[in-house]
Amino acid sequence: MAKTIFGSRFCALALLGLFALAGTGCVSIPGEPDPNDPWEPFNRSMYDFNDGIDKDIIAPIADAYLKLPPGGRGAIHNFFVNLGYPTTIINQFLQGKFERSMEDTMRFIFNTTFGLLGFIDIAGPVGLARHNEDFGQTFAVWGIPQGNFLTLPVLGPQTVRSTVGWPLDFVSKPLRWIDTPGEFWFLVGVNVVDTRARLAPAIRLRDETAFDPYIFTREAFLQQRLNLIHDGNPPVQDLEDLDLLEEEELLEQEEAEGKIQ
Amino acid sequence: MAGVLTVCATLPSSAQDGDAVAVVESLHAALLHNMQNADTLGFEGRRDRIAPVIKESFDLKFIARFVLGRHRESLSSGQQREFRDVFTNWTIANYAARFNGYASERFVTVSSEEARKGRVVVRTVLEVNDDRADDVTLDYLLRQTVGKWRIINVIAKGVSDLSLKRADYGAVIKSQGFNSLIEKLNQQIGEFDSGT
Repeated sequence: MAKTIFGSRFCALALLGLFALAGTGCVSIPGEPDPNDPWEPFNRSMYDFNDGIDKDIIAPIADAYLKLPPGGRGAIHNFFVNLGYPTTIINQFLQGKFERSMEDTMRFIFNTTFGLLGFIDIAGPVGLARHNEDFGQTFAVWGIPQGNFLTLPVLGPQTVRSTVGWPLDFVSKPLRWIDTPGEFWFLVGVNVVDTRARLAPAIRLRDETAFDPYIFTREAFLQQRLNLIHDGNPPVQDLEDLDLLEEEELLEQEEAEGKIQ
Repeated sequence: MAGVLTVCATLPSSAQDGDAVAVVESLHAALLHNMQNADTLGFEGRRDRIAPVIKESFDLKFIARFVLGRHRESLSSGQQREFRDVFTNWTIANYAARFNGYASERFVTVSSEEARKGRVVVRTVLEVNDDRADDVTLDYLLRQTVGKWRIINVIAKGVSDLSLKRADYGAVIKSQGFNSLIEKLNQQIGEFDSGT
């Protein structure tokens, strides 16, 4: 039954993808293509498709969900974080973070047992911090290149590397062991709504300040992936460009002083 | 009046770092004051209070040049000046609009460290509630010009504001032109003012 659910979920996503491709035209981008986003026309059309689904279906449900008491929403979120924790544990191990893998195993056990299947975060207050790892991050640690930015129907922004990791993330989650399709899809639905609700402030910021929401989403996603891969301590971005601009500034200053003298 | 509500969790590693930390904490104190008196001040009051702090804390001339990216080469000095002025007004209005309420948030200074080329990174956290998983990390990159430390980038939860803006504004200039970017920025300033 789990295999059927697994297979049916992939079939559902594949069909959705085909509808997305059939229903959207090719988006033409004025000017030269961005060398950092060679699949931009396709990505933009997928972005528009996903945005439509979000605005029409997911966002209204998430807005209603946000009216629930914060404590209840927090418990639901804790449950899903805990449900995804085996993926984190496996990938901590694969990345050679053995001590962290042991800590996260303890976290998962504490929260699953004493924390009532993870609804209560017992482990956090006792010093077992929450982490977030996935197979895409493991591939990055292993030195596998990121590949192009890619926007998938329904799944949203990805890279080629994270896309390859996604099926492995899925099979490593206990969610896939649920036999009943109704229960499975119910949990998936609640997880999607919970995630969307937590992203609401970031999405509101994007909608209120970004002139090109696709660009904003792409850049924010890629940087957040880098942040995750480096466990919250990513290399400072744009260093070379900052250095160049400072050198240019210094030259201008010297020229101006030269002119004055 | 603003209150010492920012907390130093660790001491700066050097006197230079301490000066840079002071710039960030001064900004946070001003933001907290705006948040705690948001309704009394209103948007205009918050904007008027935060404007001198933003101009003092941020190296807006440098930031404006950076976010124009390679498009700067095709702009006249007049256009670059115009962009800098509009961008400054936008930044002030954005901070006045965003920090518009208080629910016991806290800015906590975590650490500071020297970065390359004499810059300093000040790491802080915005605690929004009791769940540490909801904390928003705010890292500030500062450089020293004319003897003063000024912020040149804010990295919120790992996302660089400089990079975001450069990509976003660059896309507008590329597809719609410089004047359209100026128009859009002014339009957003108006929307911040009217609360839309």
